[in-house]
Amino acid sequence: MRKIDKTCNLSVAYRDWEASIEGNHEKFTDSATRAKYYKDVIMQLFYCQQGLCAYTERLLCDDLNFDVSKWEEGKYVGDKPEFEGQVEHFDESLKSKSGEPEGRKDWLWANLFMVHSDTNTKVKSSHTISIDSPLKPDRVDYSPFDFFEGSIVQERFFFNAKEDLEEDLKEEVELMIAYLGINYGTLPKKRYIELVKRNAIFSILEDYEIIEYTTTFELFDQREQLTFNLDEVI
Amino acid sequence: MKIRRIKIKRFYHLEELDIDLTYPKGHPKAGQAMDKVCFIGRSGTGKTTFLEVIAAVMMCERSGKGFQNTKSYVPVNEATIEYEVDDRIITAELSTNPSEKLPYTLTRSDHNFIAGGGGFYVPTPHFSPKKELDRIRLSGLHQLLLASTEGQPQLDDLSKYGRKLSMIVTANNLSEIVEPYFHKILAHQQAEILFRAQLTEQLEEDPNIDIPKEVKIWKASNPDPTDDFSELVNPIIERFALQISKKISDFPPRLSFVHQLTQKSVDYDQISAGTRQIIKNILPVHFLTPQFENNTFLIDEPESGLYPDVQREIVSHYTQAAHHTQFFFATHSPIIASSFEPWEIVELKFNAAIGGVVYQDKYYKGERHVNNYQYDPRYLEYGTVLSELFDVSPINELGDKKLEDFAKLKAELETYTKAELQHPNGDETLKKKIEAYKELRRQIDPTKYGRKYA
Repeated sequence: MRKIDKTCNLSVAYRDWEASIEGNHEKFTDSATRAKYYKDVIMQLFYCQQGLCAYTERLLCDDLNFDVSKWEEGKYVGDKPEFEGQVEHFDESLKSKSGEPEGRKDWLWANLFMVHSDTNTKVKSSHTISIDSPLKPDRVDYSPFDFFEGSIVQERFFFNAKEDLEEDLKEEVELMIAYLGINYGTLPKKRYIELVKRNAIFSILEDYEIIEYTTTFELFDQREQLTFNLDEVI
Repeated sequence: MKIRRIKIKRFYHLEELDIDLTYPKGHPKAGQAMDKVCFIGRSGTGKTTFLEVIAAVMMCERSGKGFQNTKSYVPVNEATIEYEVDDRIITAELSTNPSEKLPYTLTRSDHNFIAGGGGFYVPTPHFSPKKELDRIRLSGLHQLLLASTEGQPQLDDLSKYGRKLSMIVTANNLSEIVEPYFHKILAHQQAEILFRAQLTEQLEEDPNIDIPKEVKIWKASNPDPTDDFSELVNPIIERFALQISKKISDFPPRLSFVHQLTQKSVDYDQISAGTRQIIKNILPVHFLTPQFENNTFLIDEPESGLYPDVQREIVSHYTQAAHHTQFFFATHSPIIASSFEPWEIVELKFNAAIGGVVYQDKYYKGERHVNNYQYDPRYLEYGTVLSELFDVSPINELGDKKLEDFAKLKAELETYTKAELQHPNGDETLKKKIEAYKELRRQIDPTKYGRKYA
């Protein structure tokens, strides 16, 4: 789960509107508000996240869709964007529940991320995480390398809580790994890593760029420095 | 006749879908309708509905009993299908009014296959031999309008316009297709009996007659009608130690088999459900082809009753059995899906973000070009097809959790030194962790670390 910079301001109309609301927002399901701002929100999120899922770093949206040229006068004016994934409310308690007459902070920019649909529906839905969590990926002081390390089993990469963290924090990181589904989709990740490694070995692409799973690759490099293979020792 | 596009305005729960069924740019057949198409998606996304849309149009075409004004009601179902007929493109619009039932609905008894055959020729008086769009309105059971025709043509006119016979084959009328084949076999058997009787008579008159040579000559000029079908089916059913029987003696005539080991006859009702499924599908594929050109086959759940090794091959068996034919499959099987080129797969998904609306998940980015497709299911491991195309983890949730625990334990153990791991001595916690790691390793990778039994 890499650091995300959400300071950009392409969807100015939405950001101005969101900043101007003092009380509660319209509900996230409100069709009039969706018609006005939904596309602006998701495409600006994709811009900030470079098209990746905020938690798994899996590619959800092609960068052609969120090129700055797609915004005019603070509105996203591109065609109906093609993407996978859903809008995620990091802190679910700030989003109104169905049946409630009024919204809460449903459109709060700081609480929104784009994530893989399965992460949102299958993994996270039943868990609530505070917006003040130290593991919120757009925090100024957040760095994945302060919290996570990696382990490879069955040729698949898994994030773990760093071994040297304080016990309480370690437990919180482990819960976040489970709640946010950070380890969801290890097989497509495996395939992508294999592809990149093959390209590197055979120099298929002279200047290949790692687009997805960048945190995994950085931790992968750290693992390469391990002095022994555990399965050969025990 | 091949379908190159299906547009659904509304049809049951489906809305605003536009499915391009032509080969993409960069393909040797770029721009032409695809030879085979596979619908995948969760239950309820509309795979079978798409087959029904196609079947409905075919059934309308077959049973166009008259023409009525379709403007007097708001249709409940509306879909458009674009066909290629030779070098022409024809658009058929299907709509049903609130009181009409769909002309064809798949039922459990015949869900395994339906097959429509026949050219779809409805040229208008202004028809040009060049490619142009002719609009045909098909509605419900019995409404067919040629939009660009002056006045309303009568049914008889259709034959003048060169419309060919077409039919829908289901489990109920399969015998219509197969009976001529049985009669051919019976006629062949009777002819052989007659020939042998004549040969016996000749033998009495001329004892030097070369019987094997005479038989060979007769067989060369009277090919066994079962040969073609046996060549097609035997390679599949030999897996089940069966072969098509060359003899048909029952009345009414019916297909039977020979057990390869015992050489005993096996009746159709005695063979397994999976084998029956193959026979049921391949019969119309094989026997419709010579009778009608340009067939369209709709096969729902081709995996039904089939072991994975047969699933792996069944699509190519079906498609090779017929020429100038378009196949539509709907499946839940990643093995079946891996028989298709990436553009041949139409994945339907629910969009949870906008109220469960069904959309097509496209596998390409940017321009629809063969180079822009992300996956090619033919070259993926089945597990990857399951995770990438079907969005299902190839390991059950328990297994995923176990792998995650295993990874965590591994990371913990890697913080120790090699010497500590090899000689934990009095460190009971480390000893327990090592044992737990070994046990998980045994379960996760039994081939390499499983217990050895004498």
